[in-house]
Amino acid sequence: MSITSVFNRGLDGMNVASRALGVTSNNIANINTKGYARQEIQIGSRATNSRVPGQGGGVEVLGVESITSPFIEMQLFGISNSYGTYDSRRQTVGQIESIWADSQTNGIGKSLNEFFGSFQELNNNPTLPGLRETVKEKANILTDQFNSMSRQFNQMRLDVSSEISTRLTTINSLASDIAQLNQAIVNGGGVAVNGDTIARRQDLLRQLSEEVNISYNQNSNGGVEVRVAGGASLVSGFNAGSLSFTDNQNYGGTASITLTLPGGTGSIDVTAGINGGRLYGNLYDRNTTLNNQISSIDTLAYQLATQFNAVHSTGYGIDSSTGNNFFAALASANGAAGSIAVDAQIKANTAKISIAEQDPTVSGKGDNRIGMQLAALQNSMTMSSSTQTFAQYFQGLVGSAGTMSASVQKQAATQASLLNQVQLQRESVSGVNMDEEGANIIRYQKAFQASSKMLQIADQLLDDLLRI
Amino acid sequence: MGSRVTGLSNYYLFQRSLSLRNIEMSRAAEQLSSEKRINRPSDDPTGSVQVLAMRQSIAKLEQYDRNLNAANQALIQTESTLSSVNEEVILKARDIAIKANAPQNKSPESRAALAAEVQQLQQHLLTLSNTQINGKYLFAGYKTDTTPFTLDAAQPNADPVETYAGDTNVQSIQISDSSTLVIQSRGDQLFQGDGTANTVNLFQSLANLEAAIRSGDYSTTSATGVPQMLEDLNKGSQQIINEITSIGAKTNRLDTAKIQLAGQRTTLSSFISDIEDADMAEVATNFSRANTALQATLQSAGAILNLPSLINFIGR
Repeated sequence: MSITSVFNRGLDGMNVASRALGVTSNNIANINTKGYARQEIQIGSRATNSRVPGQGGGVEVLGVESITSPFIEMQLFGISNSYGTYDSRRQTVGQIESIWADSQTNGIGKSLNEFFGSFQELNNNPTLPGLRETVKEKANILTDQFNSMSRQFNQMRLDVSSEISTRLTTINSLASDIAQLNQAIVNGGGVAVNGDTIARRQDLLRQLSEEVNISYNQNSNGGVEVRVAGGASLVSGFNAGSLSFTDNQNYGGTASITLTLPGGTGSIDVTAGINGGRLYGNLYDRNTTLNNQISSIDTLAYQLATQFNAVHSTGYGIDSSTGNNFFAALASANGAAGSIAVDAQIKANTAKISIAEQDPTVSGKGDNRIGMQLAALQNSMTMSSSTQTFAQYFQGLVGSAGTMSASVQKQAATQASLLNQVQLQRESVSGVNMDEEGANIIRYQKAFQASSKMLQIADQLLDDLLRI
Repeated sequence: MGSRVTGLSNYYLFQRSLSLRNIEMSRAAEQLSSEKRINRPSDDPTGSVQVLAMRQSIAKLEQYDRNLNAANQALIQTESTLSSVNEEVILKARDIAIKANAPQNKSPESRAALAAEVQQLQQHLLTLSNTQINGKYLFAGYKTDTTPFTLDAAQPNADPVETYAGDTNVQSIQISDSSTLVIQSRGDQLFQGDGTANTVNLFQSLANLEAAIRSGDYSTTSATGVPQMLEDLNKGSQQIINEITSIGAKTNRLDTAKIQLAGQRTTLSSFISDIEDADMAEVATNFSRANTALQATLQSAGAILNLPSLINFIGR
């Protein structure tokens, strides 16, 4: 056994211990990094090349391993996706609910009652001109509220569209980051020596999964292939594709998502394949939820105006005019809530409000027979194939907004709690524990000290030898 | 799991439980301040739709209540006018007819005086039949702005004595979702009779009475004699009393309807409060429990996150 080998073993030990301290300090530095996987240094004794029996070959660092559980990573990946969907819908749906709830207490629900009430008052006193003005004012308030509700929903549709646009930017930058990490891993020597980078890429994949439904698989060279929306390639090799969207702001129009394939090799409409993540939540609310709200309120406005006009136009105003519309005629239900208004002639002259069945100069100014029919529309089954009154239809809409909001909130809470569970599990496997790292510091510091002692001893041995 | 506890797992744990505790607290505080269990439709979609429907019913009931008041007012005015017609015109005309039949009043002077009295009564009848309330004629049907009755200038001999310019419709008012109530009486039928044997034209009867007294026609067999006129006036009185009775029945119905409305409103209000009101004792308990839970979570988070680790003891 040579003295130089004592030197070398001491050096080995110091080397390994300082590498190990480096890993420990990296772990401590990343104690608060979300998605970080703690690393462990793999140490092995080196195979001997000495002919001296029983003499060890020293120690070497075999590698640095990131501690992860593929099972938990997959769970996290999946739950992030469904959590993303409900979390992104929560806000939109809550906002829709509060628009409906407001409109019940202070808006259309209340004004609808007051509007019909004002007709009954006029029926009670057909000759009082002031009551005609009241009818007109109540109708103006009602139509204003329809207009404002329609505006609010249309504005929300725009808001969600711009959220989608921001989200696509996030998704595209995540995809291009993943492509860059692919390059770093593949060029940096593959899976075995890039634990850090792989853990980071895994976290980006999880973030991407929270945004949109993706799947991925890892190549033997360490790169991942990412597919989006049920199979279309988003990241291939070192190239990332990108998502863009077309927003059809026309009535009932929808937003659609186009994928430009990695390397610019063509583009596909992937809208139908998007069924998870925040993007799906936004897209669903934009294309379905909000369009439904708009068409529901439009249906109410259209039916109210049309059915009211049908009766009103058979009546006679106090000025003997007949065939008057009470609400400006609406061509179709599309956009009706936005355009419903009291007829301009009625606005200009309330004498045209027609509650008489015959010309009042013949039948008398007390003739309120049409007025009675108009007031009776309040209790008629005018909506939903003659099964609901106007008010019941409206209450149904408020109720379904509430049900939708309750169910989305419940789902969001469930997903959040599942996500939290899996995050805790992931932490328990991959998280950094300060005490463990503290123990490692002590362990490797002592090892370093001992190895350096060996060098000192070898130095003395050489000194002693030279002094002979 | 029997697992490792790491720095971030404590963070995730406390972050989630603190956010849950905070949500609990704000829910409890909201219920405490609004005293309501349902503060938005999603709190209880079924319950809130029920509440909305009941609120709408209450609003309608309030409108019906106002309608009932209007109906009541109209009916009372009609009733009091008709009472005047009966008492101040018809019964007085009967008295005159009876007086005229008495032997001591059969002198031409007496007859002329009595006939003049009858003429006055006819004028009074005209005034009553043209009664206006708030500028609207009571007995003109829909033609509330048209004077319903005018006497022919040439009466008592003209035929007909009066003309009716009102119409034969009557206004009604909605008093519930499904029923309406007629609040006008038909002026033509009341004052001119409906053409059947049991009714008479009051204007004509008075004109005939006046003519009979003037001409001294006391024959019990004459169709235009005082005795026959007395008979007609009795019928006329009955005709008015019948209408008063029918109005009385309607005001009774209104009173009943009003009481029912009030009852329905009370019932609905109490249903609403059953559905949406919070049980305050429970809410207060929930609030203090949420508060305690939040405090406890904060304390344990503070204690655990501040625990020293081995690192604190390294390096002498």
